[in-house]
This record gives sequence, structure tokens and C-alpha cells, in this order.
Amino acid sequence: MTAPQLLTSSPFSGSHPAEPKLKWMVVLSGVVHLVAFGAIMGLPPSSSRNIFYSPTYSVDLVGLPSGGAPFAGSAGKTSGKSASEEVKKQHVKLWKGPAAIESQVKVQAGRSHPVLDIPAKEKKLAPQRPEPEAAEGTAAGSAEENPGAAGADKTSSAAKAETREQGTGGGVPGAGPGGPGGAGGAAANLRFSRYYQALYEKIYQSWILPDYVTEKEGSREVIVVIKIQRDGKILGASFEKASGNRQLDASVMNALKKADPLPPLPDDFRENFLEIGIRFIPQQKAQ
Amino acid sequence: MKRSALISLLIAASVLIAWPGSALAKVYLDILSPFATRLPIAVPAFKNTGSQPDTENIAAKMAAVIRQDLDLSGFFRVLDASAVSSDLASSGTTVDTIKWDSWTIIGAEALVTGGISVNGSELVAELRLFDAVQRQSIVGKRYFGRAEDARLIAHKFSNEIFKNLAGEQSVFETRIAFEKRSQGTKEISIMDFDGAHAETITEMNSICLSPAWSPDGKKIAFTSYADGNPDLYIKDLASGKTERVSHKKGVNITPAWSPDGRRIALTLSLNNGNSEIYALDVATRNLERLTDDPANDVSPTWSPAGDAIAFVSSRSGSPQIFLLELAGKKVRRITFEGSYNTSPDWSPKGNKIVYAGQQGGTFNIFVINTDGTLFQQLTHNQGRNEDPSWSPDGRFITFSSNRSGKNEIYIMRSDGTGQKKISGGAGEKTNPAWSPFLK
Repeated sequence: MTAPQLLTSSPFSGSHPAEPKLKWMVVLSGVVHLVAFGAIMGLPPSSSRNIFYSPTYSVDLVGLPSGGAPFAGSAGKTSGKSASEEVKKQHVKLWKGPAAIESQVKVQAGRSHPVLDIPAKEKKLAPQRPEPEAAEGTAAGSAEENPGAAGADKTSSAAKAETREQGTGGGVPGAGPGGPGGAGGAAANLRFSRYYQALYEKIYQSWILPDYVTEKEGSREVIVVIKIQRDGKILGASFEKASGNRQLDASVMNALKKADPLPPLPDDFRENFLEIGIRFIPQQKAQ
Repeated sequence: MKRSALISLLIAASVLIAWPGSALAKVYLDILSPFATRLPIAVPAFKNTGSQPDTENIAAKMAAVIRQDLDLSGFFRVLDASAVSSDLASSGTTVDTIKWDSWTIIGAEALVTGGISVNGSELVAELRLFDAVQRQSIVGKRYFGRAEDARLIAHKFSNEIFKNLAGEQSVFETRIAFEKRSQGTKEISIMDFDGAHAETITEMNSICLSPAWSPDGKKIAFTSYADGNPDLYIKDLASGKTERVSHKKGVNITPAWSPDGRRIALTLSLNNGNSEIYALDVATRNLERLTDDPANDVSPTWSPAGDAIAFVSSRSGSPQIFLLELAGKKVRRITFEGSYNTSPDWSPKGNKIVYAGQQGGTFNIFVINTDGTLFQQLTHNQGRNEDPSWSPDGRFITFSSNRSGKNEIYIMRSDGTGQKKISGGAGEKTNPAWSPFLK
């Protein structure tokens, strides 16, 4: 009845069913890690992805570039992998807190789309350097802090932006030290985050979705891509993914029409148009 | 366990990090729909497009009927257009003449306009539904009728609105049958689902009970003591003919039509007063016994598929709701709350049963899933509430209540909201039965 005896007679030591499995798992884990690590190091850091900005969640889920689910929606968006001239780093973070003010957005005049870096905590606003956890993109990223004109030429919609007075709606004042357009610092990032928040608020408030739509089967999400002019006017809206439910599809188009014009683009934004996807997610009445 | 979870998390994270995405980042803004939003809809007073001056009354009444229908449904927020702007009064009734900006300002997403003209007793109504955001017509109808059909036409267009927006038929053209007591007799009456056009359909000078609609809405079965015994009768609403279909010794009560209309389940007491449930073939008058138990079995209601009935039985001591599968004759008790549960009615969607349950000396309306789950109380602390009956779309329930001092007929949404007295006038009204969709 000594301790060692107890140990050896423990039920786990008799028939060793768990051990090979564990070994196998460790090996597997090692392999996967190697592969993953190799992929990270080997791939050009330019691979970018769709960024989902979800101001409605109140749960703070920030951490790893988590949210496999949101990325799932990016299927079909793949385009060729990055030549080095369009090198653009991504810190993809799902910002999931109600207060937009606390997050930080990095805007880069990318090929056609802005790039977000949205750390979660306020304390990370000040430092210019990217977050450590988001390290997979940082290498190329810091160099891109000031995007300048480099990547901005290819866009179908893009011409170079002139600076304009910023007027985001939604009651968010353009606070913060307004760096010169394109200076890409924390202040500018903050402003762009606020812009998304303002967009969100205006569209959310316009969206009417009666229960007779949400209770129907198979109407789970609609994605509309809109093109916003500098002054906030919506130039076009098209379904990237329609639900097939006529009422649901109509409700989101109506929401956009009612929300038009949207708040003017922040002057940091260097192009004449912003193309952004809006993912409308119906919620069913709880019961 | 913990360790392998950690490992798999790491794997997942690595895969995510290494996942090659698009070279172009596109920002997606996620918007979760707001809960329980009602569609803001404006139904301004309809225009008199004819020359007869009293048309305004009719036009106003029709718009009011539509507003009330839409409000009742629970899916719409009916905007008070009159209070907002005088500009709206001059807004037209067609895409070209409607002052869209004014409707946008008050937040209307849908707009109903009407032009009514009356010529003698003939009424022509041009009613239209618009998407007020896209500024497009959704549906427009021209109705021809008599002036006294104004309400009916308004209800028809309410249905049209609901069909076009929600994609299904609503109850706006349905009716409710009930027992109405006056001076020692009880006769069967019918009224519109909103209480209008009440009329007594039997003249038995007796006690008439338990009206039950045939599935085609053309006949009503009921029990009457006209011959001294509680016998079963069928009233043909079109011809007005009444026919006695069951006069067995003992009771012939609580009829319920099978969904195919061929049979009526009813309660008979052929054996020494022990009541059992039978199915009466309407054409041949053949009887099939469905239940067999020394306890009393009453008040059958058919499943929408016609393959089962729910009924009340005291076989477990107190009256409770049971289900009987007709094929296997399997019986299953579904209510366990309360000591007296009665008057079951099977929902048109098939998944729920509404019933009245005794609770602290009074009765309230409850709903429960047919598998016995999700027990829910719909009425609270407001008199004695009995005899619930589903609307044909399953979105509403009618019941009787004495909360106003005497028994009247009420309707509510199937979640218990929007409770509203619809009957009026003299006499106690009880035991409502909601009609099927009527042509």
C-alpha cells in the first residue's frame, strides 16, 4: 500500500490502451505543427483574406486570429496568390466589442480594399507596432505602415484620394490627433474603425425584418457588396450571396436604400470609393 | 483529455494561420438582424374616386379594417399617417402620384392606398400595396361589390397584403362559430373573425352545443337537445338544411370532423353511461369505436394528418389529455400539470395542442407540444378562460372568457399576446370554433 504500489496498480497501467494513442497524437501534433510552421514561414506573408467586422457581438473573443467560421464565408473569393508588389500584410482580428472607440484600424491603400488591424484592447492603441499575437503578418506589415501610393493603382474603382473633411455619422466625433492623410497611425486607424461603426449603426437601424421572414427555413444570411462614394453615397449594391428568400433579400436592399447616403468616407481613406461587403444575418425569435 | 483538447486547438490555430486566403482583403461588416421588428406600414384614408359624397365613410371604414387586420397579425407597425403631415392627404394612390418623400419621412416601408367609388349600391374599390422604400407596386386589385361588402373587400385585401409580404394566407376572411345563450336557449351563431357580421344559424329553440366546422367550411356539426336527447346534427350553411346524424341512446356530443371530412369523431355513451370516442362515417353512418376504457373518454380532436386523435380521459384519475394513434391504437398521456385538463384542439401545423386547464379554482388556456414538451400558459389572472380553438393558419387561438363579467369570445396570437374581445351584444357566448380558410 505504498505510494509506488498504488501507482503501478493504477488501472491505467494495466492494459496500455491510452498510451499508443497518445503517442500517435503527439506525433501527429508535431507533424501538423511542422507543416503549419513551414507554411507560415514559407508562404509569402501577403496572403490576405476577408475580414469580418462584427460590431454586434458583445462577447470579447479576441485572441488568436480565431473565428474559423467567419472566414468560411470567404470561399470563392480566392484570387491568385500575391505577387510581391501587392504585398500587404493582414492582421486579422475579429473585433468583437460594442465600443468601437477602443479599437484600432490600420488603413492601407491596398489594391482595392482597406486592410484592417483591429486589436482588442485600448492599451494597444498607443504602440505603433503590431500586436505580438498577430505576428504572422508583421514582418511585411510594418514596412507597409505607410502604404503611400504603392498598391493603389490597380483597382477598378480607384483613383487617388484627395483629402477631405471627415464626417462620420453615428455620433462619433472625429477625435484624436488627426494625422495627415495617409499617415496611417493609430489616430487614422481609430478613425477608420469608427467609420465602420458608423456604417454599422446606420444600416442596422434601417433594417426591418419581421418575424414572418426570420421564421422561414433556409434564410440564414445575405451578403451584399456595396460601393460607397467619398461623400457616402451608395453607388451600387449587389448580392454576393442572396438568400433566395424574396422578403429577406428585399429587406436588406431596403435597409441599404434607407441608409443611403452613408457617412462620408474618412479622409484617411485614399481612394475615391470603398467597396465593402455587408453580411446580413437574420436572427430567429428565441423560443 | 485536457491535453488533447489543447493540441487540437493548436492544430486548428495553425491551420487557420496558414490558411491561404485571397490576396485581396475585403472587409465584411456583420449585421445581426434586430429582434421582433415589425414592418412599418401606412394605410392612409382611402380616396373617394366617385361622385357620391357618403363614400368617404365607407372609404375610411375600409382603411380602418385593413389597419386593424395588420395590427392584429403582430407583424406590422401601422403608422398613424394622419398625424404626420397634411402633405400626405394630397398624396395620390398610384406610383406616379404618391408623394413618396413624405412617406419616407415617416418611415413607412410599405404603403396601402385605395380609391373607392360608390354608384348606387355598387362599390368599386381599387386597392394597392407598395414597397415604399423601392417605390414600387407590389400588388394592386380592383374589387367590384355591393356597398355592404366593404368590410369583406377590405379583409380580402388584407389577405392579399399578407400573402404578398409573408407568403401565406392569413385569417382575415375566416369566421368563428360559437354558442350564444338567450332566454333559456342556446343557439349556434357565426361571426367574422373580428366579431363583425354575427348571425345565429340555428333555430332549434333548444340547447345547442359544440359547433364544429367541416374542413371545407360548408357545414357545421353540433349537438342539440331539440329532441330531448343530446343528438348530433349537421347544418349545411349554403342550403340552410339541418340533419340529425346521430341519436344514439345517451350522449352524442363533442363532434370533430376528420381532416378529409368523411368522418366525425364524437362521444357516445352506449354502455351504461360510460362515454367512449367513436368515428361516425358521415355518408354511411357506420360507427367505429376508437377508445375502450372503463373511464370516460370525451372531446376528440384530429391530428392534421388524420392519423391520430387527442382526447380527454379520466383513466388516470383526473381528466387529462391523451393521444391515440389510430393505426396501432397506442394511447399516450401528454398532460401532467394540473388536475383537470380539457377541451383539446390539435394545431393545424400538427405540433401543438391547446387546451383549458383548471388552476386555482378557475380555468386558463395552455399549449403543449404533442410530445408533451414545452408546456406554456397563455392566459393569466383574467377570469375563467375555456374552450380554445386554433385559427386555420395556427397563428391565433380563439377562446371564451368571462373576464369582462360575462362570457364573451376572445382571440389572441398563439403566443398569448394580443388578447382581444371580439364578440359583443347581449347573451353569453361560449365554445368558439375557428373556421377553416373559407373560399
